[in-house]
Amino acid sequence: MSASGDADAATLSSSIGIVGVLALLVGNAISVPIFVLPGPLAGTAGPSLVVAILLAAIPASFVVLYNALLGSAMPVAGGLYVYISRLTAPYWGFLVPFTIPLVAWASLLITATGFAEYTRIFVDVPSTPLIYVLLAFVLLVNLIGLRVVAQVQLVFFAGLVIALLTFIVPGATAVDAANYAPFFPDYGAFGLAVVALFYPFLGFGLLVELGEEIENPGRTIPLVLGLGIGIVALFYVALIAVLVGVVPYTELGAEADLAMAAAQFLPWWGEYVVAAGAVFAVVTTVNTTLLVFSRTLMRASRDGILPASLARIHPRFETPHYAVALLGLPPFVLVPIADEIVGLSVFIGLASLTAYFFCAIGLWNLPREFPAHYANAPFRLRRYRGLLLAVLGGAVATGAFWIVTLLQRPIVGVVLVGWFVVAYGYYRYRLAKTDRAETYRTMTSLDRHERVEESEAHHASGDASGDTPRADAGEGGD
Amino acid sequence: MVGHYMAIGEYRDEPAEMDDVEREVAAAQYPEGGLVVGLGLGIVLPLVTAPALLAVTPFLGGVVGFALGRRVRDAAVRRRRADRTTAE
Repeated sequence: MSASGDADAATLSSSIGIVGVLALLVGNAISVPIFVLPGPLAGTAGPSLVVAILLAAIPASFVVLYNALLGSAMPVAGGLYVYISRLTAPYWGFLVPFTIPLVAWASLLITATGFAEYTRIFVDVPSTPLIYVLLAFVLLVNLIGLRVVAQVQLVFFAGLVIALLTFIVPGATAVDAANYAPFFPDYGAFGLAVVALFYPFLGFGLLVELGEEIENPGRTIPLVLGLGIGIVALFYVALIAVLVGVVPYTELGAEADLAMAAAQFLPWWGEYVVAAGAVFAVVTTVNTTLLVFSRTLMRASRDGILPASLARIHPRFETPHYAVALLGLPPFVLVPIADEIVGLSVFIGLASLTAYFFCAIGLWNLPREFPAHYANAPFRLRRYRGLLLAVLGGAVATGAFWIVTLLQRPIVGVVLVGWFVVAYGYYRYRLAKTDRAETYRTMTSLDRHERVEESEAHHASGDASGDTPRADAGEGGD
Repeated sequence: MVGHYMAIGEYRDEPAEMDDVEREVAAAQYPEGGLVVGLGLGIVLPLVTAPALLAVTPFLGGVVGFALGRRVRDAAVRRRRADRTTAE
C-alpha cells in the first residue's frame, strides 16, 4: 500500500454542520485555560493575569485571521502542514506533523491533570489513576471516530457553559478590589503567562484542520471564527477577573483553583457545579486533540514524508488508528511530568505561534502561489495593507514570545529548537528513502480534488474588491 | 531554466520554475536546515556564556545559518551540473 495510493480513499467520510463546528471550536478553545491554567499562572503573575489574557488575545486574533483566510481559500485536511509546506517550504511544513506529537502529548498531560484535580472534588482517589483513566478514554474515543466525538462534544459543551456562568455571574458581585493589589507582582511571570495563555486560544486552529469535513467551508469558517473568538475572549477575561478578584493571588496555584474560588461566594453546591463543568471541559478538549492532530499526521504520511502506516484508515471506524496511537500512547509514560502545567503550556504556546508565523508567510505567498484559490476565497485582504500587517504582526508576536520564553524558561526554547534540528535529520532520512524530487513536488502542490479551476477563479474574482490575483499563473508546483 | 531566472538563487524556491537538478537539490532544504541549526547555536551559546545576548544571537544565528545553507545549496547545484556534464 503506497502512501499516496490511499489519498483519495482516505478522505474521511463524516461531515459537520455549523452548530457542530461552533461547539467543537468553542468547546475545545474554552476548556483547558479556564479550569487548569489560571490558578498556577495567577499564583506567580497575580492580578496581572487579566492583562496577560488580553495580550495573549492579540496573537490569537492574528491566528484567527490566518485561519479564516487560509481556511476559506484552501479548505484542506491537515491544514497548517499543507499551508506551510505548499506556501513557504517543505521543511517548514514538515515541522508541523513532526512537532505535533509533542504538542499533543503536552496538551493531553495538562488536561488529564486538570481532570484529575477536579474529579477529586467528587471522589477521594489519588490523581495518578485518574490521569491514566482519562488518557485511556481519549485514546478509545478518538479511535472510534469523528461522528461520536461531535455528538459527545455538544452535550459536554452545554454543561461547560452552565458551569462557567454559575462561576462568573455571581462571582462578579463578590470581587474584592483589594485583591487586585499589587497588580504586577512579577513582570517575568507576567510575560511568561502571556505565552502560556496563548495555548487556550489554539482551539481555533481546529477549524482549518477539519477543512475537508466541514459543510460549506467558505461560509462556515469565517462565520464560526468570528463568533468563536468573541465568545471565548469574553469568557476568559470575565473568569480570570473573577478568580483573582475573589481570592488573593498568593492563595492560588494549588489544585482545582476555580472550585476553591467558587466555594468563597457560592453555596455548598457551587464547587461541585464548577468541578462538573471542569470535567466536561477537559473531556471536550481531549476529545478533539487527537482527532485534529491525527489528520495532520495522516496528510503528511500521504505525502510520503512520514511512514505510510500513519495514513492507514481503520476499516470499521474509518479513523487513522496508527496516527491516533502515536499521539495517544506516549503520554502514559510521560505522566510523571504532568504537573509541569506552566512549562508544558509555554511549550505549546511557543511551538504553535511559531507554526502560525510560517502560516502568515504562507498567507503572504498565497495570492502568488495559488491565485485561483485566493480568488475563490469569500473574503480577502489587500496585499500591501491588510496582508502585510497580518504578517508583520505575527512576526513581532512570535519574536516576542521567543525572547520572553528564552529569558524566563530557556529550557522550553532549547527543547523546541533542538527538536527542530532533529526534525531536519529525520526529514533528510525520509527524503533518502523516497524519490526526493517527487516528494518535493508532492509537498509543493495540492491533491487533485483540492485544486481550483482557473475558470472558477475568474468568475469569483469578477466583483472582488481586493487585489486581482495573477490571472495567468497556474496552480503552483505542478 | 538557469542564469538570471534561476529560481534557486532567489530568496524563496519556486518549484514550478525549477529544472530537475534544482528540484533535487531544493528537496534537501539546505537554507532552512542551516537556519534551524544557526538558531539553535544562537540559543545555546549565550545560555552557557552570556544570557543577556539571548535577545539577539538567535536571530543572528538564524540569518547566518540560512545564508550558509544557500551557499551549500548553490554549490550542490553546481556540482550536480558538473557531474551531469562530465557524464554526457
